[in-house]
Amino acid sequence: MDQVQVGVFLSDGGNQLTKILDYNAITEFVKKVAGVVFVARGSEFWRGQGLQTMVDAIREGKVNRVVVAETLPKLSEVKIANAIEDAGLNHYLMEFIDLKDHCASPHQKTPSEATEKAKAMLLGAIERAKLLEPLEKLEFPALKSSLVVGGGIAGMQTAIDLADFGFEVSLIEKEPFLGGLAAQAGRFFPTDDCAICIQSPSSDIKTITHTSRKCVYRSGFTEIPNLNILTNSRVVAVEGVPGNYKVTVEKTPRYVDEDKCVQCDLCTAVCPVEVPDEHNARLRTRKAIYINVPHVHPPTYVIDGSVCKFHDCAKCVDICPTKAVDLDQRSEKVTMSVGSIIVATGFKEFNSSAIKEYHYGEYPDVVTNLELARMIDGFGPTGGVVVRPSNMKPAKKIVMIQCVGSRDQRYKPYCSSICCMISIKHATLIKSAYPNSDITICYIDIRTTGREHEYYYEKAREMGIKFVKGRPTEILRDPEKGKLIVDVEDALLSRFLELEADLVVLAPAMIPADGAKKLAEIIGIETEEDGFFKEYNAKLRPTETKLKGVYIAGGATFPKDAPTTSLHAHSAAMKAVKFLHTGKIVKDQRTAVINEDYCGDCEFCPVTCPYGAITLEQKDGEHFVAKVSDLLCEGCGICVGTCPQNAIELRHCRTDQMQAQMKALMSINGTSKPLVLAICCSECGHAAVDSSGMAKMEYPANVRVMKVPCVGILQVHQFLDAFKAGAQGVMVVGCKIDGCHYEVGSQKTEKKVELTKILLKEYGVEPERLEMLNMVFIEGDKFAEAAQMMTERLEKLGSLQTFGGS
Amino acid sequence: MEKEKLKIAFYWAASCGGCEIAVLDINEKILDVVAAADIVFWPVALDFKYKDVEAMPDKSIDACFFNGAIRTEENEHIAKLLRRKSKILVAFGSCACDGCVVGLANLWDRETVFERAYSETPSTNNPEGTTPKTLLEVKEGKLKLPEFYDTVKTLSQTVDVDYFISGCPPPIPCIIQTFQAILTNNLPPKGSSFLPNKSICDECPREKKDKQLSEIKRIYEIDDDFKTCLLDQGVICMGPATRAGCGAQCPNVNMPCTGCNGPGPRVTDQGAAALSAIASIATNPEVINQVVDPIGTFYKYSLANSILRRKVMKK
Ligand SMILES: Cc1cc2nc3c(=O)[nH]c(=O)nc-3n(C[C@H](O)[C@H](O)[C@H](O)COP(=O)(O)OP(=O)(O)OC[C@H]3O[C@@H](n4cnc5c(N)ncnc54)[C@H](O)[C@@H]3O)c2cc1C
Ligand code: SF4
Ligand code: SF4
Ligand code: SF4
Ligand code: SF4
Ligand code: SF4
Repeated sequence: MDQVQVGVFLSDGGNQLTKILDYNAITEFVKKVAGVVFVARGSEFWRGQGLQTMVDAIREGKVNRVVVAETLPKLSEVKIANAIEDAGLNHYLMEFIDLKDHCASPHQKTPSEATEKAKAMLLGAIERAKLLEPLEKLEFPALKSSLVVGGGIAGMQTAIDLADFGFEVSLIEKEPFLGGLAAQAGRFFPTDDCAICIQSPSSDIKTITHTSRKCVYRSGFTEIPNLNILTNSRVVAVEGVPGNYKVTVEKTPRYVDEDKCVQCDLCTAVCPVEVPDEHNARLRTRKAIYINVPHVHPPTYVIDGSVCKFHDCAKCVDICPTKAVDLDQRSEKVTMSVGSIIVATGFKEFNSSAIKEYHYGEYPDVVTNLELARMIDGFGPTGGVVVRPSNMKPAKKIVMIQCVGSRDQRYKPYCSSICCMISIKHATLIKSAYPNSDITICYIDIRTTGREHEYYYEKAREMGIKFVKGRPTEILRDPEKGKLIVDVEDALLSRFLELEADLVVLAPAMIPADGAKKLAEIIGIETEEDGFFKEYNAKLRPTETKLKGVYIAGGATFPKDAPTTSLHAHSAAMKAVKFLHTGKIVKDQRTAVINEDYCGDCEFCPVTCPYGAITLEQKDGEHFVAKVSDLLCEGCGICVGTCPQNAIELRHCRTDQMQAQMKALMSINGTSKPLVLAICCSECGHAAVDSSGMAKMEYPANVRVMKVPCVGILQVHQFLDAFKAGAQGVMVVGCKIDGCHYEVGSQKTEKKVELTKILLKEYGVEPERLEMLNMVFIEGDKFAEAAQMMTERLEKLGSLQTFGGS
Repeated sequence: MEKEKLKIAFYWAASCGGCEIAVLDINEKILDVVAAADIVFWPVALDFKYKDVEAMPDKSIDACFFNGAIRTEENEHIAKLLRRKSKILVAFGSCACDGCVVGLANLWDRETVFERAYSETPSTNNPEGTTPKTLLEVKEGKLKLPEFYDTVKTLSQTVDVDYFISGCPPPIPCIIQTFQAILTNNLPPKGSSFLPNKSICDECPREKKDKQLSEIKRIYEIDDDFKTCLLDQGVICMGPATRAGCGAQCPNVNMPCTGCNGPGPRVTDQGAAALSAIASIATNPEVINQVVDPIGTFYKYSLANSILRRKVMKK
């Protein structure tokens, strides 16, 4: 490589900083540092004349490494990076420091100390800059296609968006029919219109307007040419990389040809097998060949293979006028290549029979919300009449119990968030249809946080629905009359009530769909402790997962109502489009690289990489070596911080660069206090240091800051090296343990720090000299305080005498 | 004309003597060595005096294999002497390379070592409390004895070293390779080690699993299946942080690697490398507290060559 020629650009912020920092002394110092060939001082370098000076110096070939000390760091760093890239210098050859917030501001009371620290900071940046190397841009091909798993409203809406955008979309649903919960719920609050209503696709050309929405079976979305719908199907394997996943789907047979069935219903008349209809709360039966309701998709009957007698019967085969029934269909495996995967598997009701005192499953007149919804639905088993399942007579007195399994430490500690509204909806629907019904809702708290929701609740009260604050202790059954009694303490009036009921409706907790965990494992994403899919960042990236190209939508992440589900669905679709729309994935090679000669195949790094970017490969038919996928690697360095052979380097933060900077920072003190090295992650840790400076919080100038991508990159030897380089104390500043931008970096390094403290003690070195802090941006005060306290602690401990001896 | 035979030397400083035996463990290959080289100095086997070495011209020894750490003034003196007299100086064995068990004395200093060795141990009978002195008056005159240092050093902390071959003792195939390289003048770049670049795990036949360390166990606490990686069974194994060469002898016979080959080629501190890796796979904070005797476990062979090198003694 060419000889390094470092240009140093020193901004004084228009004399802002000259009152504190002696710029003449600093400039003179910098000029003498080996490798520095060009020094410019100005009021700013991120725009105007200052930036031009830098660009010219690069264009004229005077400098090939740039060190910038600016006073407006966050904004200017990007501008300068873009400008030097345009001038022909790879922007990874720039090193950037902030003499204002990291030096002048916090040390304004000790100007001469601040000046010495500025020299050390510049020296550190220069020494690091000398070792920088350019990083390439990488391009990976990406397919403009998606697989959507789950055919509820989330999955359908996402599929429509993506298909409308022109992606090839496959929507797979494990059940024989689409719709998910919406197909069972009948009506949806707060508008009380049909639950099974979705936004029409733009390909529904004849009737589309920008407000167009229709029920699933009329919407025309099933006719979008680039949307392939597979029901009765499950994902069994996922391989490949973001932008190019290879998915295997297993399709269980329907036994009825979708292209031939004409919904004549002749088959159900002849089918001899009759079983309880699960879709309809077992309040009626269905045949082995059946359809849920006429308005479903696909509009094709299906045979339940677990009960059908097949060729011992074959009556439906004979009667079918279009020869649509094929009893010899076999399950088949379909493979497809897709650029992205959207998981929209929804949720389901918790099994309330676990709560013995409510006797669900034992007393037929104790039902759940979903079962009640089937009764209220005109297409349901009772034609819209709410009955007592024990005798199928109308139920007049109804008691509803909220939080069944939810907000209960024994079962699900969380609030399922939609069941208050569901119960209120059911109560008002029943009350409107049967004004003299007597409905009581027993609740702990009523949660109606959405728009219009509180109004909905008020309306219910006005209609005469009674609300009792209390969690019922038991449901009893009068053995003679068969009536139910609900025991509850009314907490507001402090009295025990025995509520008589024809029907008790439970509002069970909502839990993840069956098989969610398995699906997560197949795809390689995570679920939370509660079993729902884990979002990449709950606040900012709620529909992304840590795997690029895999998104989550709707109830799969947590119970949601339909409006929130729709928001999610559109967001997930947008994310997939953003990721794939150019047909390629472009990224900087800011990745880890493993030196095969030194990798000892210990297989630690594949386990600690939070992004599954490392795999083992056999070389020359003998040794296994670890290998990083440039596509998957996020560049955190956690693998570097793990590798016991030091076989891994981060291209944008190499060990030699860190060492050089560390030594330089520790080579100049200029204060009477013990030197402290603060190693900060470039995310919240460094931001906390910024914010302490911005708020002009003071801490002593003996504290020196070094930035790394994530504290996860740090190894125990770096702490020891810092002491050897002259640090009397070391602070490691990372993100909050569960707020780490790279998932596990803070957590892993916290353990390294703890172990190092134990080790230091054995070495006779006070463990208090090393400290790990976890901060967010706004905790600049915490940083300043910790820096101050570390300094005071070290002053008490006295100087650290170590190393070698004779 | 017959080629002139090479001149080689062996020396032991602060060591157990195992390295000397290892030289003989190359069995019949020793005959090739003797055929190609003259042994000009080997205190453990042949009768030479220091003055014989002093009399040799500088750089007249072609290769010197130096085992043992630098514990005393005598060790240092001879290390310097042999350096001067040898073209190639090889740090032979863990003591010379990394300080080895001898180096664990760096957790103490001269005073505390003497205290322990010359008065405290149950087998000591020393009513006068005699400890080694550097100067002794005897009737023939003043006797000067070599000083016992506070801190054990490695050979390369004392003199310039050309090649390294660590291990306690070095693995036999690597010793053979070393001799062959020197006898055939087929030498790697200065500073190289004659051990492979990989780690023990590379040579270990045990099957690696998911590496989720939730509890640290001692070897007697597990029901070893003789197949699964010991770390995957919860036992601390130094294999991942230890340079290959021995063919994973210990894990092969159901004992965890304790690290005698020293750190990998890019690692400066073996214990720190092991600690980083172990901390990274610990699934809960309790694991950290289960680490007992971190220096004895992770620095058994490399304390003297570690970044901090010795314990800070509070006076
Ligand atoms: C009783 C009840 C009443 C409700 N009432 C209202 C209301 O009035 N107003 C309102 O806004 N919201 C209401 N909701 C909430 C509403 O139903 C949900 O917001 C919405 O259905 C969520 O849609 P989804 O697509 O995320 O999940 P779901 O509707 O659960 O759909 C998920 C789909 O994925 C399929 N699936 C699951 N796993 C797999 C797999 N591994 N492979 C393939 N497919 C799979 C399922 O079979 C299902 O079809 C109610 C919910 C219930 C339970
Ligand atoms: S073959 Fe199966 S589905 Fe058809 S009529 Fe017979 S039992 Fe019913
Ligand atoms: S939404 Fe209401 S009923 Fe459901 S868990 Fe929360 S508080 Fe309980
Ligand atoms: S941690 Fe290091 S030695 Fe172990 S497999 Fe990964 S790269 Fe290889
Ligand atoms: S740098 Fe981070 S993302 Fe990349 S391979 Fe290493 S641990 Fe994985
Ligand atoms: S037993 Fe030890 S040497 Fe073998 S693979 Fe496991 S850690 Fe490595």
